[in-house]
Amino acid sequence: MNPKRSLTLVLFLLLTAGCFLVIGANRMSAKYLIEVDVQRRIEQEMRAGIASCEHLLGQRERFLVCYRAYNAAETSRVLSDAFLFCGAGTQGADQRPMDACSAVDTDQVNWIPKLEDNSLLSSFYKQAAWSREWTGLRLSEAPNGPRVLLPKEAIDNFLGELWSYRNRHLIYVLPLIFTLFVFVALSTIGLVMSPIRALEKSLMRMSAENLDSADAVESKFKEFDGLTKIYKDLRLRLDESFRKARNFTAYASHELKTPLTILRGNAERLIAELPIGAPTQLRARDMADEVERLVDITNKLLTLSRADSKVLLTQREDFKLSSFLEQLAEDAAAFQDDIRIEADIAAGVIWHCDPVLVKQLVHNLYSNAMKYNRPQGYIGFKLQRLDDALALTITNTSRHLSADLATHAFDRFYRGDLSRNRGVDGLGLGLSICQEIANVHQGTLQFVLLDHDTAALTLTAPLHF
Amino acid sequence: MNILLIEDESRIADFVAHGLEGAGYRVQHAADGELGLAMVRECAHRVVILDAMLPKLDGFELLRLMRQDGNTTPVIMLSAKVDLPYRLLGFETGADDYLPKPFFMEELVARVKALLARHSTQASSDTQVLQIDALSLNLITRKAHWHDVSAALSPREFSLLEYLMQSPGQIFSRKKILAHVWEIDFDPETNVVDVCIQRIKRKLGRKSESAPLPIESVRGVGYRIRTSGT
Repeated sequence: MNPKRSLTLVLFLLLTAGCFLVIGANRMSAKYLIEVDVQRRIEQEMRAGIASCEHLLGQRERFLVCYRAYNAAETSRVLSDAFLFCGAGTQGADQRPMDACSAVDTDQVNWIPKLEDNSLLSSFYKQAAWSREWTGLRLSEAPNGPRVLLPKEAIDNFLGELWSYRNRHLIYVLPLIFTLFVFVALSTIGLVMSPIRALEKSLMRMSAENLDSADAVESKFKEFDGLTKIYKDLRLRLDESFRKARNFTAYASHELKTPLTILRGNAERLIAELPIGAPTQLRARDMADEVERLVDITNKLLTLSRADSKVLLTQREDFKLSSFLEQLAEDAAAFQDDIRIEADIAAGVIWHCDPVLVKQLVHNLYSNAMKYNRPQGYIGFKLQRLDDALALTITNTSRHLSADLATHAFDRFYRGDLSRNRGVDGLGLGLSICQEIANVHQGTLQFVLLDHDTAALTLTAPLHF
Repeated sequence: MNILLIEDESRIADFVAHGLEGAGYRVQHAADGELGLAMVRECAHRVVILDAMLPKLDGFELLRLMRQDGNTTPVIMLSAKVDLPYRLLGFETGADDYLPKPFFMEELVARVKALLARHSTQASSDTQVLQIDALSLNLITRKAHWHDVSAALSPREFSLLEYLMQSPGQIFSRKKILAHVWEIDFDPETNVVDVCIQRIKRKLGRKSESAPLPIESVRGVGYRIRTSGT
């Protein structure tokens, strides 16, 4: 389903690969370098040891005692068992086949000349002979002079043992190393991802309402400064345009109020001054009615603009919703002869709300129910009390309910096709205002089509919020 | 009966002054805040009608300075800003009433009358009865009298008659009456106003043979109380 790779996983794998490469390189280089180093060191120890025990060279056991005493703390002490003595006297003669001594032939060996400060004549190293590699020292240049030889095998075995010790411990240490590695890898990844996560979180919290909040992303790392700055700028620019868009309606509505005051004042004055019942007075009344429509539209736009700016709710007090609805239902019955009014109103519901807004909401719902109703239709008012909440449903018959009404009922400036066709007075702002009013009371407004010609609007809201 | 109107928009000032004069008041006009303050300080007025946004000196500031001087003349503020915080600011600064724009002239007149009634020490009994020619309405008992007939009115009937009688001669549209009497700010396309007026006429017209009740329906325009002069 999701073909995208995880950056965390890729980073983890890369770090793992890097880590193993480093460990491998370290082991390889250690192995090679230690071998060379140990080889050279053994040669030096042999040189010094043999030099100081030279006089005992003819007696193997005594020589070895002397040698081991001299090199008590050195590597070659443990290797001295493998020494091969050639052409050196008779006492304690070497038990090993003389083939070895003769095989390490002086002719085939490239002896390194003796060092000045050393009594030993010269040495060789890694000379293949008798199918083994040897390290050798000779004390004279005579072809059969005394020589001490050490098979490289002995050194290899010694190093092999060391490695096996190390590897044995590695098994115990490995889980620790692995744990440490995972810890380091994960914290590194976490660190790298943290500014991105912070940005993501901030973006998720972002909405049109908190663009200017100080909750901008800050990263501790300078590498992210560019990104956070772009994000901040973007936020501010967005905030600016939202603010402009919101303020535009508010300013426009306010600016309209002065000319509307003048229009209204003069229209009313004209009506008063014209002869009673004259056609011009009737026209002036029409004009004044249109002014009232403009006033209504302006007020609605201002209300919506205030809702968008989150300043719709300005007061809260206990409001006797039941009495208000009973009065409205009673009036409604008086207003219309051909529409049946049904009221089922729970008594004594007191809502802690903004009464001005709530009256506007109920009036809007009622006026819709009435405007779009059909002859011999009905309007039902139903108020229920549900624990700490209220449910108000206004049900009404309608001349025609278009199918898309359920989805678009709360859209601003949406008026079903009916209102366009039959010239029903209205702007399509009423229900969106109702929804905003429900929202500021932490309530919801739902539109339900019950029937081909019946619709219900239900407001549910907590009694206290 | 002297009213000071401080309003920078001349066309608003024009119809407000005209309306107030029509209701029998004398009106002085100041077109900016400084001039307004000078006029407030210079001579006494019964009521000051004050626009909130004025050039040179803001309406709220003018009101504050005026109250600082110890001037207790009742003030009605006019403002395009209807939000509660502004209204509260107005009242806190010392306004007696706050009328959002756009307003109806008769509402301003009604509020001026109410303010004057509240502030007048004498003639409190005057305001308990509205009297137009032979028609009178007692605001306490809610009884209407027309010549020799008297009738108790229902709350809606009383409210409607009181509304019309407060501005005799003035034509009120159906919408305005619905908004004032039934407190609904939309048009329910109803004839309830007609029905209500018919009921008042029936109550007061039964025994009277002298003259029909002076409530006049102007077709397509609205309703009014006809006075002897109109």
